[in-house]
This record gives sequence, structure tokens and C-alpha cells, in this order.
Amino acid sequence: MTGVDRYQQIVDGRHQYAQEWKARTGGRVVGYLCTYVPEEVFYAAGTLPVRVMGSHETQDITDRHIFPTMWCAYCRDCLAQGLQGRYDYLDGLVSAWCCQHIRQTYDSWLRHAPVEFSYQMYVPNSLYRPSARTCVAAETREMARAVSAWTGRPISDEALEGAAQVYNTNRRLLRQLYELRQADIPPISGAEALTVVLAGMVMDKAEHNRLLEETLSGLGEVSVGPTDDLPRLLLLGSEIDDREIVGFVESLGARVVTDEHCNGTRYFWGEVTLNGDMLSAIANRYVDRPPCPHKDVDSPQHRRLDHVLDLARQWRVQGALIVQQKFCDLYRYEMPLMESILRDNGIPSLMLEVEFTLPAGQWRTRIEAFLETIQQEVL
Amino acid sequence: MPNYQRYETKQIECWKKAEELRRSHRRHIFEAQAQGELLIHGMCYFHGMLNGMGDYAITEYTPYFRALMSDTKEAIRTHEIAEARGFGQDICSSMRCHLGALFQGFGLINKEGVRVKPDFVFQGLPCTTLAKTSQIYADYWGIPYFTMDIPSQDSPATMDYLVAELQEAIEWMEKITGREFDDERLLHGARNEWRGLSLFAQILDLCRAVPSPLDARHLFALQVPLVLVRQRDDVIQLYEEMLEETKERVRQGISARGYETCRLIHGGFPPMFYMGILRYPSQFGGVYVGGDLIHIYAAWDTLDLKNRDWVAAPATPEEAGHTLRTREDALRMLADLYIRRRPHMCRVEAKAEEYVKLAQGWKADAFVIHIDRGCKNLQAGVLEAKLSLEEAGIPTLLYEGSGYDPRDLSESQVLDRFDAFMENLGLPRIGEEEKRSGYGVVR
Ligand code: SF4
Ligand code: SF4
Repeated sequence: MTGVDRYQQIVDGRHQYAQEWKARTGGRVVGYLCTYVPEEVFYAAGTLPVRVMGSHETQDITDRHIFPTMWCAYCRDCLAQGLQGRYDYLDGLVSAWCCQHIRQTYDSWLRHAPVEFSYQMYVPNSLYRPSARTCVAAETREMARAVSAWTGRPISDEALEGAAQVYNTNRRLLRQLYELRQADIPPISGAEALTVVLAGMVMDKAEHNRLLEETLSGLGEVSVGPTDDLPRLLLLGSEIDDREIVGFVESLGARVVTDEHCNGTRYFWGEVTLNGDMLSAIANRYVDRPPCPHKDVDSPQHRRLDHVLDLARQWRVQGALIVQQKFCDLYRYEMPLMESILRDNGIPSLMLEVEFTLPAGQWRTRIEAFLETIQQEVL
Repeated sequence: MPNYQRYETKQIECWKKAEELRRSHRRHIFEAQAQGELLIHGMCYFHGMLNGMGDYAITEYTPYFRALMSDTKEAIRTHEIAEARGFGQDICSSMRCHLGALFQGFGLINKEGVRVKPDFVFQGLPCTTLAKTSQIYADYWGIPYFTMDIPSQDSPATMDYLVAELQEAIEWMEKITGREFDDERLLHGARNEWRGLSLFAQILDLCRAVPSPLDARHLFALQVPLVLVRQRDDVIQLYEEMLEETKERVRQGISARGYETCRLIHGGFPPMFYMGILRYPSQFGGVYVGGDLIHIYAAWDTLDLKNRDWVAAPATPEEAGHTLRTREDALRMLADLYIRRRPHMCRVEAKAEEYVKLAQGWKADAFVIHIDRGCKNLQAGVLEAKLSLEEAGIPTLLYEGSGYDPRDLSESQVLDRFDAFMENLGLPRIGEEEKRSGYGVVR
């Protein structure tokens, strides 16, 4: 794929990128721990919001703060980065009302590696009643007030609109990139697509947009070869910020053609409708985006499951891989229903459990067997 | 040198009444619908608001939970049933057990074989696990479901949100039941809800006394009617009597267990299938004088425990500045109660300070924390709390187990650790002789 190395460099050198950005612009960098944080507000305030990510190395520095045998590796990995000082350039740390795992990361980080600005925004779990929409708008407004008190600069409506436009463009471009993968032979792999999304989470979105435009125009010229019979997979999970995982699956003879997790479609799906009060408009986008299980607590409607089925249809997937972070209870809760709904819709699934590092040995045989089953069914 | 003074003990007079209220609640679950009342499924929150729908019974998941917890084999079987359906060991053992009961179909069937099905699910949402479980219940039974966030963050937006949610809940209940909501009953029930939680806080306050008039084992049992049916007048009356009785016990220097060589606080749920563990310290003359899970069933003047101490909330909403005339007044009062007065189950951020203030305020010599691997909500922030307790000079013991899954607790290991901990505190076992002389004879 055209220029994927550039994205990879940015992801690998994300700390250097942020520090250079700081030096160049004199701006402040804010780390965020949950994708329900309305990033546009920070962007409009002239700061650089970056998603905090782990390094996928085993560690024990967090064991005094978060029990290793009951909390997901993702939340511990993120905290480890903070405690090890890898994010010591951050001026702020923010989160949204999220699972208990990540809330501990936020709390322990602030206790032991304090930053100048911190904010945890309340985002309801029962997100789909009118009261919740009003609450998210009010909380976004409150957070914007806190940010502008911190930076000493009001956040104008024009700045908010400008930020929303940059973010909307970004979401549109990423969606275009993903839509190319609806083709019989997608021009980019799943691992490459993940790299592109991850880069966008840690860099200036305007710059990411420029890169994406270049990438997309390059891909437009790619000639699509003949169809092959590699199984088309959907990747489901909570936090999948490890390209190795996707690369490994694909190396076994499959195509990951789309996904539904916090570092994939769920991050960029849905745009801000640019009318009326800008803070409410921005807040609405976060209410209307595809939910994670934490926010999908209604019955009989299960919005996340409906969304997954839509993706599966549009990307014509033949199987689903569910990557489950060990100890992530909320995703585990949805697993039985998710598996049965996929099955009822003719999509076999395989659940794989992960902690810090890719358990290649354990996964290989299971994935190979799964791919074989799919291929037999296709034949 | 430990305090080996022998204190007087005495039966708790209101114990029987509390037990009778608990039993009648259980019976009511199977009678309510036949009497034309609503049967609601969920863990109890906002009793006062539900009271506006007329008399009702609430199922609190599995009515025979207590029986299940005293039958280890059956409890394990119930967990296995949930696991076989894909609800693995990562998820809360309490909810796993309830799901197992649901799938076995014995959740809502009584000894006479009467089977009931709730009219709807109403679930207050302090912890997402509860909401996800209720979602499964509603799906399984095909009944309407309302889940209501209880924000743990205090801001004008969250206060308004909770009031708006309560309004939505009322409209929703009217719509699905075709019954009219009664504001007078709301005002009455909501006032009782405040009053009951405040009374319990005043009782807990009295346990700061040396010797403590009650211990954690008593308090866990005595709080049950408050947990289940605090909208009712007879329940409020029970806590009024309990408060007076506790005051009298303090006046007379009556102690919970006879000795008080060491005052302890219990963190987290105790293992429900092994509640006797709460009495174990009495072998060393130690006594649990409180616990965070006891203190959350009470209303406090403030939850800003980073800066202030635990102080019981004013006895009535009016004393706290609320005027109670309209529906909006009552709902705002409930929002105040749940966001600002009643400790939230999922409070990660203030846990460390809360634990330290709990230990200091109740003059504890040590803190014992039960780690239930499945319960992500109560355990969050526990290690930070341990660090803060130790910094404050309060020895802390963690024991790993489970609130509801007997397979996850090794009794001998836990007790060995506890023995070693007490030894480190310089506390030998109380001699057999002293035990025979009547020590620890109360419930
Ligand atoms: S993986 Fe699961 S438990 Fe971990 S932070 Fe994400 S949602 Fe929370
Ligand atoms: S608080 Fe803990 S034990 Fe209770 S339902 Fe939530 S996760 Fe389960």
C-alpha cells in the first residue's frame, strides 16, 4: 500500500512526534484514555489530543497499583507507560466515564505521575434517552469551560466548527479507505488499515488528512487483481492497538476486511452534524456513534450487535474473530449473544484471548482450523 | 499491649423484627401480583420513586440466594450452568450465580411451586455489570427493561440528568403498566428512603464507640430490610428502634463480641457463602466495627471524603434544606441522596481517602480487604487504597476469594494468612478458658 511506512513511523515514534509538535507549535499535548472523550474540544482549544496506548511488553510496574490477575492488560499497559515516564511530555490527561479498568489507570496515573490538567467527563451508560443526550451536551460544555480556564483562552464557535470539520474529514477519509476493502481483493490489508487509524489517533488530524488524501489517490490507481479464495474476516474486540495481531491472522491465510473495536471503525464512525450549537453538535456525534458494550445496555435492542451485523453484510465477511482482552468483563458479557447472533446469520466466529503480547503459538492452530472450516463451508 | 478488657454482651432486641421483615419481603414476591400489585425485577434503588406506582415487590434477582449460598454444591452447580452458557469466570460471581439460577429456572419459583414472572425490569445502574445482567434477564423473559444510570460524579449536569432520568422512568412505567403514578406516595416513599439511610448512618456512627455496640456481622444482617424495602413505614420504624437500642447499648458499654483487642474494618463484600469469616477475628478478641459495603447503605452529609470526615446525613430531607411538595422536589431530593450522600459502588477515585477516613474515624487498628476477582466494581482502586492505608500507618491485609463462588476461596489459606496477620499485630488467640467464660455468645 502507498506510504504505509509513514503511518507506521508515526505510530512507532508517537512520543517523538508529539514532542516535536509541541516544540514546533508551542502547544500543549493532552492524552486521552477513552474514545468517548470529545476530542474536537481539545483540538479547537489548540491542544493536540493523543490516544494513550500501551507498548505490548510484559511489565510488573503496575502490580502495586492494579491487580494483575483481574484487570485487563490494556489498562495496565497504559498505566505502565505513564509510570515509566514515556508520556512525561503530556500536559493533560483526560478520560470519559468508562469501564472500571481504565478508570483505575486514570486514577493511579494522576496519583503517581501528576499532570497539569486532568478531567474525567461523565458519559451516561444508558445513552439513548433524551436525558442522556442533554447530559452529554452539558458535560461537554462543562469540560470545554475547564479546558479554556486551563489554557486561558476561550474556545470560540468558529474554532469548534473548524475542529469538527477537520475531524469529519478525517472520519470520511478513513471510511473511504475502509470501503475500498469491500472489494473482492482489497487494496490494503487489515494490518495496514489498523496502522493508518492508529496513526490518526496520535497525530494532528489535519496532517493525517493530508496523508490520507495522498494515500487514497494512490490507491485509486491500484489495479485490482483476480479474486482469490482467502476467507474474509471481521475483527471484533475492545482495544486492538497491536498491529502484530492482525498481521499474524493475515499471515495464516485470511483477509481482515473490516473491524469493530475502539481502534478501528468504532473510533471514526459517524460525523458531527454541523448546525446549531457547536458543543451540542459535537456531543451528539458521541451519543450517536456505534456504542461499546459499556454503553449498550438496553433491551430488546442491542445497538452494537445490530451494527456488527451491518458491517458483516456490507463487507461480505465469512467469519469473525473475537479478540477478547483477558479479564475484560463487559465484552465477555456480550460474547454468548454475539456468538449466537453471528451464528444465526451464517457467520462462524472464533474467540481468542489476549494479554500483553500476541500468543502466537496458542493461536496458530486454532486460527488455522477455523480458517479451514470457513473455506470448507464456502466450497 | 492489647486491650483484654472483657465487656458485657447482650442479644440484639430488634434482630427478630429485622428477620421477620426480611421473610415477609420474600413471601411478598410470590403474593404481590395476586394482590394486584407490581412485581419488579432488579437490585433496589429509588424505592421511594417506585412507591409512586403503588405497593410493589421487588425480586432482587434470586429470592433464594441465601439458601443457595449456604449450599456449596448447589452454588457451584449454579455457576457451572452459567459458565456452560458462555458466562465465564471473568465476570462477577454474584451475577454469574444469578444467571445460573435464571437458566435453571428456579430463580422465581417458591417452595410451593408457585412461579412468578416480573412485570418489568427496573435496574439502577451503579455498576455496569448489573445493567448487563438485567439486560439478559429482560431478553430472557421478554419483559420491558429500564436501566437507570446513577452517576458517581457530582456536577450540575449529573444532578439534572438523574432528575430527568427519574422523570423518564415514571413516564415509562405509566406507559407499560397502564397505571397512574401517585405523587403523594412518591413524596412519602422518598422521604422514608432518605430517613432510613440517614438512620442507618446514625447507627454506624455509634459504632465509633469503644467498645463498638455492633459488629460487621450484625450490621450486614440488620441492613437487609433497608436494602430491600426502605420505602415502607414499618421498616423505618425498625431503624428508629434500632437507633435507640444502639444508643442504649453504647450508654451501657455493651459490646458486640465481648472483647475488643483489635478493631478492624472490612473492605468489599465478605464471601456470602462463608459469612462466618466476619466472626473469625473474635478468636483473637478482634472485631470488625464497620466496612465500606456497610457504609454504602447509609446517607452521609458529604461524600467529599478527601477533605471531610464521614458524618451522618441530616435526619430528614427538610433538615438538609429540601422542600418536599411536588414530584420535581422529590426527584431532586433523590438525586441529592444518590449522587451526594450515598457512597457510590463504583467510586474508584476517592476510595483511598475514603478507606483511610473510615479506619481513622472508627478507630480501627487494621483494615482487612476481601478481593473478589469477579467484582470489578468494588475492587477498583483497592490497591491504591492499600498504599494509602499503609502510608497512614494502618496495617492492611488482603485476602483473595470470591463473594459468591465457593471454588475461588481456599478457606485454609485465607485463615492462615489471617492468623499470621494477627500475630504480626501482636495478638495471640484468646484462651479456651476465656472462651468458656462466655466470650462471644451473642449472635
Ligand atoms: S479492554 Fe475491556 S476492560 Fe480493558 S479498558 Fe477496554 S473495555 Fe475496559
Ligand atoms: S458491584 Fe460487584 S458484585 Fe455487585 S453486581 Fe457489580 S460487579 Fe457484581
